[in-house]
Parts: sequence; C-alpha cells; structure tokens
Amino acid sequence: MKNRKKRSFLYLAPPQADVGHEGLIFAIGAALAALYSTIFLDRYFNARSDLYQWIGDKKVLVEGLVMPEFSVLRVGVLNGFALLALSMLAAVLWHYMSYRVGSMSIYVMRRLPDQRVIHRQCWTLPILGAVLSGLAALLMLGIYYLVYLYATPAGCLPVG
Amino acid sequence: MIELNNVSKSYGTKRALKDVNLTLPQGEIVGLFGENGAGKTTLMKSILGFLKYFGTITLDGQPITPDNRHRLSFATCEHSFFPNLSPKSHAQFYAEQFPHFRQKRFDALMDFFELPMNKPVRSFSTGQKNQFEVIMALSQGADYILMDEPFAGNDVFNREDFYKVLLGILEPEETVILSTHLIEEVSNFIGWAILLRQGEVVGDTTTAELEDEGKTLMGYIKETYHYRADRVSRALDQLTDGQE
Repeated sequence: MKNRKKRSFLYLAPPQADVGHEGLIFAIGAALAALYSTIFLDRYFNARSDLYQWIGDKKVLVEGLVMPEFSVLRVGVLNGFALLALSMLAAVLWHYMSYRVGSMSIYVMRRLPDQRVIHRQCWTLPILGAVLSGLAALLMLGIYYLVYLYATPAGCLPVG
Repeated sequence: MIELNNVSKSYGTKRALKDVNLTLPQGEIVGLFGENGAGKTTLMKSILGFLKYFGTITLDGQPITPDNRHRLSFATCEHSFFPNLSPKSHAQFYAEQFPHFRQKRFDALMDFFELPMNKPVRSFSTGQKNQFEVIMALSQGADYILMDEPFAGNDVFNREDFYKVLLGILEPEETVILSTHLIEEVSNFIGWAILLRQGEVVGDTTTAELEDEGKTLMGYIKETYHYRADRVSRALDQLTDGQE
C-alpha cells in the first residue's frame, strides 16, 4: 500500500486559481472595510465634543451629559467586514467555475478517488477569508471599545 | 474489461448514442473511428461517468464510481491539465491523489518530449500542451487510457514519436482507447477498431480479423461507411458544368 504523502498546498485551493491575486484582493477588501469602520471614530469624537461647551475661551464639560451607548455608536461600523465575509461566497463560486476556465481540469477532479478534494479546494480559502474577516471585525471592535472606554472623560460613560 | 449495454445518450432531441453494445477488452489498443458528430466523445465521456446516459457501463463487472474511476484516465483535445501549474506540480498533485501514479514513466516521457518541468503549462505551445496532456494520461496509473483526438495540432514527427513511445511503454494489462481521424497513421498498431456512425456502432472488429480477410483498415472503414469514391468527381462535374 502506498504511503500517504504529506499534502501540499495544492490540497487547499484549486490548482489553477491565482491564490496570490485572490489574497491581494482580500487584503484590499479588508483595508477598505477597516477604513469604512473608522466612521465609528467620526461618530465618537462628534459625540465626545457634544459633552463640552465653551465658556469664554475654555471648553468645559456640560453637567449631567453622558456619551451615547457604545452599542449605538457602533451600528453599521462593521458592515464592510460583513460584506467582505459574504463576498467569500463569490470566491467559492469562482473556484468551482475555474475548473472550466483555460482548460477542462474538472475532468481530472472528477476522476479523483477522493471526491471531497474538489470541495476542500473550493471552500478552504473562502472559509479562512470569512473567519479572518470576522477576526478583523472583532479586532477593530475591540480597539474602538478601548477608545470609547479610555478616551471618554471620567464620569461621562453611561451607567450600566 | 469495460462493458457497455444498451447505452443511449441524447442532447435534447438529438440522439448522440443509440443502444450501444460494446465489450472493450483489457490489454488492447482500440481505435475509435467515426465522422464528426458520430458520438466518439460522447461515448468516452459516458464511460468516464461525465455524462448521464441510459443503459449500463461496467468496469470488470462493477459500475463506474469514484471508487474505481481512477482506473480510467483521459487525454482530450479540450485539455484537462491545470494551466497555472508546472509539470512538476502536476506530478506532485497526481502522486498525492492517484494511488498508482507512475513517476518514472512521467519523468521519462517529459525527458523524451523535452518539455520544461518548471514552467506553467499555459506557456507551452499547442503541440507541447497536447504532448503534456497525453503524458499525464499515460502516467496516472490507469488501466484504461482514453484519448480523444489527442494529436490535433501536432506535426507528423511528433505524432510518429508518440506512437513509438506508446508501443514501447504500454504494459500488457493497459488498454488504450484512441479516437482519431488519422486512420492511416494508427492502422499499423491498433489491435481493435470500433466504428461509430450517427451514434450507432456500425463496425467492431480486430485488425487480425481484417488481415485474415485480406482487408486494410481504411478499406474496411470505407466499405462500412459505403464511401462513394466517385462523389468528388461527380461534384466537380456539377460545379464545372455550365462554366464551359
């Protein structure tokens, strides 16, 4: 019986897919999603400046005013990452189609003893992309929460 | 052996295969002949399980499924290699996936045809792509090697080289099913000839039987297809009539 050889990267993506190119597109998408998420900062600093009033030439906190809840400020901020994760479905579709682009390599894939290989190749990187999108979203959310906690003047965080 | 029983396949209203009954023995080089649209490609793809069909096709008595489909390989003029991969990466992939991949045969054929090992296949010429397609089909480790017009675009010297190599490397249990229009070129080395016409098997014979009957393969094909040798002269007569 033939020894099971160490699997190569060929196991994880369709052999004819340009993984480097797809990675670049994902990175650009993630950067755009991160850029879009900075609307939180715009909302936050606007809300923060609303806590103050000018008395003469001094900025003074308005008595009794608190920041809006974090959950209110962050609405829609992560939509870019959600879109990026959803776009991984398009990547899956492209992967399945790619076996018929440039050649009919689908004929090889349909002869493989292990028919799960084609599905692994088509789904692995998009699933990884969706997970990375989620992790990036959580990271940005975490950063923004820290900003919310520590950049808000003392006593101006909402109770609860 | 591969057995086809009452195999039919239609594309819409067009019947591509009509009640095909065939037995393809192991260890033979089988020529599959027929005019364009006769059903040769459909027959091969049905055997490989790429198409839905009526009837049954078995491999050593068993239906053809993913469990035994690796015993079939396929070289097609459509090309089934991975364009962005180099031959070296192809070999790595095949070795990982097919249980009987023939690395030595692959290396020897790559060397014989002088194909670059580390360039992506998409950079090859048409002739080189055809050669590589055939190399992968021969190296997969299959018992039945189906080739659908694999020489389209290759010059006569390449084709002759390939025939010599094919005859030299095949093992007794390997079967080649070769669809081609180059009847004269292959007639010297095929052992079996199957003729298709409009989806039906109209001829099924061995070259040994033809020899015993004193016939050539080309003569047998012409006879089976009721080829009219005078049709060209009659057409020319009609075309030139009235121009005088």
